[in-house]
Amino acid sequence: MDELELIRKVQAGDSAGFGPLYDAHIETVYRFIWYKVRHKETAEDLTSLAMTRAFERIRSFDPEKGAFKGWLMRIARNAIIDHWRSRRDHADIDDMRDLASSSDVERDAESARLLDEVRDAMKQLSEDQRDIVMMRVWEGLSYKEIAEALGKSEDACKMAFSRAARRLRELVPLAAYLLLINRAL
Amino acid sequence: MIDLEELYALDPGLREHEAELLKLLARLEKAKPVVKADQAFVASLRRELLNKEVPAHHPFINYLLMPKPYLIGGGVLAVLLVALVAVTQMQGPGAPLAPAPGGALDGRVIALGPGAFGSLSAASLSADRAEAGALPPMAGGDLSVPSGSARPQSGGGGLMASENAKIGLIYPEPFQSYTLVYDGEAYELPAGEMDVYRRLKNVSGMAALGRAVAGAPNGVLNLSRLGALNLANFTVTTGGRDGYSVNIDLREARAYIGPNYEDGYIEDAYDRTYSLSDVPSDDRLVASARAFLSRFGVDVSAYGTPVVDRNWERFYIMERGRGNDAYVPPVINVTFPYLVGGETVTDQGGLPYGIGVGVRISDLRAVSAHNIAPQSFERSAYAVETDWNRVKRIAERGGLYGFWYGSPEGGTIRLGAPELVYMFMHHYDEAARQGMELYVPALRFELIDPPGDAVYGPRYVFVPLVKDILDAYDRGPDEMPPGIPRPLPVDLPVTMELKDESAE
Repeated sequence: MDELELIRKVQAGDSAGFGPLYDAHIETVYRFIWYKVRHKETAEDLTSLAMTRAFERIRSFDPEKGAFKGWLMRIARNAIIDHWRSRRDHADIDDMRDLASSSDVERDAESARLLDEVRDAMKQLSEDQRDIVMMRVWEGLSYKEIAEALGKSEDACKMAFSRAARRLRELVPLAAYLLLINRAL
Repeated sequence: MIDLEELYALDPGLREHEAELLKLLARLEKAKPVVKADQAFVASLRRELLNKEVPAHHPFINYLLMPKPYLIGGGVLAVLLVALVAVTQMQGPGAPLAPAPGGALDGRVIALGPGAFGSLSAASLSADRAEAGALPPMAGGDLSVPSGSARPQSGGGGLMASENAKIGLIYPEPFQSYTLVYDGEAYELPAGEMDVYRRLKNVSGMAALGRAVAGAPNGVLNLSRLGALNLANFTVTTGGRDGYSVNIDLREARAYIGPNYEDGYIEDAYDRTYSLSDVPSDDRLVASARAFLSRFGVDVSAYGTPVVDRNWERFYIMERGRGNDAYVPPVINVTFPYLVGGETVTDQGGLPYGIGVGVRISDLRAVSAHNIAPQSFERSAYAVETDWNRVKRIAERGGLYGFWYGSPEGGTIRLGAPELVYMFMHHYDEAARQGMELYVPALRFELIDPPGDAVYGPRYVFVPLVKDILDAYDRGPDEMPPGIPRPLPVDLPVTMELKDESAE
């Protein structure tokens, strides 16, 4: 059953259809939220909130307006914004090294070194640009999905990513830049 | 593996580093960081969600009036809940904004006796002529022309000939009105009577809403001192830039949905120009419009075939043919036309009349819907014209609204074969002090290849078949309101420069 059929099934009232949708997107949602808040428990709370909202509002999802993934990411992003507003602090990408995986030390160290190099550069981007870079680079969302998530046009997202990439290219050593671009393409 | 050409397209300056790039890419693949959600958390959340029921869908009125606890105090909540009840009663208990299930309109049409709407020859019907814009404005003059005025000579120029008409403009010579000609087969007119439909405005909650509003604190004035109140109109909004503003007109039993400009919605569709290639197919425009209405619980399954407004396209083709830039609208209207008597309802311009949805061509996003109204009707039989020659004569005189275009050379415009439609007309009953929305049977003739400026004029002429209406508009061969030639552009008159007396 493809994604659209599953969505229609849930919209018709069959909550079991939400299972495969959940399985397909939960990791993407969690990772994006984690990159923004840098805290495991907060990321879990906000992921729970975002997925619950998606489930409760699924009848309002209109496939004519965009992809399900983009719609979901938008809900996740709004959950993050609500969280920041309630706490009056802003997440930073100061520490992107809180890795939960059990990957080998050498690989983690290499990634950590590279991430250190991009960290300061990413701070100099606007929040929208950072979100676009994270969604494109780390989560591999299409520009169409990113546009849906941010409520912008696809062209605006491409332009923003291009500008962000040029800026990063100026600020970040080649290796670190390629890490990002490798994941973007 | 990365496609390097895509990388260079993004940043052309990297091409000179290709050798280094190839070495680094393989290593970077291995260095990707991994972030993974705790699987116990993932499984727990999944179980929790799948044990819930999918929340029920709310009709659009219910959705928009769903109270948000952090925004609404108790008094206002009471108003909204009463509004909800009143609006659902507007359509009949438990009825969505649509005709009865199964597409049958009979269940929503109340048959009345003949002539139940009174005489339709009331003078106020003539007001539709001005509203339809049939008579072009006269610069510096008055549009009013009393009935009984003789039709002035056309082509002679000079002052208008009617002794009762107000003189508004001296027209340049020469000017010849176009002659409308129908040379096709006679239309077989129905004998006897045909149904005229009147849309029901069956609003029951205005007094109840008025009481609720009177009791709700508003911080401005004490409404309870005004006595019995009726709530005639209200607007609700959903929050945020992408929210909606919905206006409910309880008097007219009609709703409008649009963007919430108050909370920062910016319509950027008009910030650029478009070309024909930017316009999506009709199927996609209709699908977007249909989905928008569906989102608000508006069921259009029993309306007529949706029609995409392509009226602009003929001007586009014409202007492009002349080598000019041409306008493509950023928002295109999709109409779901009302159906009465099995026929599509048209407006006075000949376009389908019904629920209109505006769809942005840039991203296929529907942004507004107007004329959302319950499809409940009364019908009553009225005598119709059976003399084809009279109908043909009125058509060739420009029909209900006249046709006032011409040129120095004049000319002939052929009328296409007539088709039976139901035409929307607004009628005010003076005696009952009530406005009515009527749908009357009429023959619609299309103008074939109008020349010159006439291409910007009406596309159709209408001849209503109800005798009452025809009699009001056609008082005989010499008593149709006279044609008022459109003034043609002329050289600017000579003006005298003001003398600067201070220089003397």
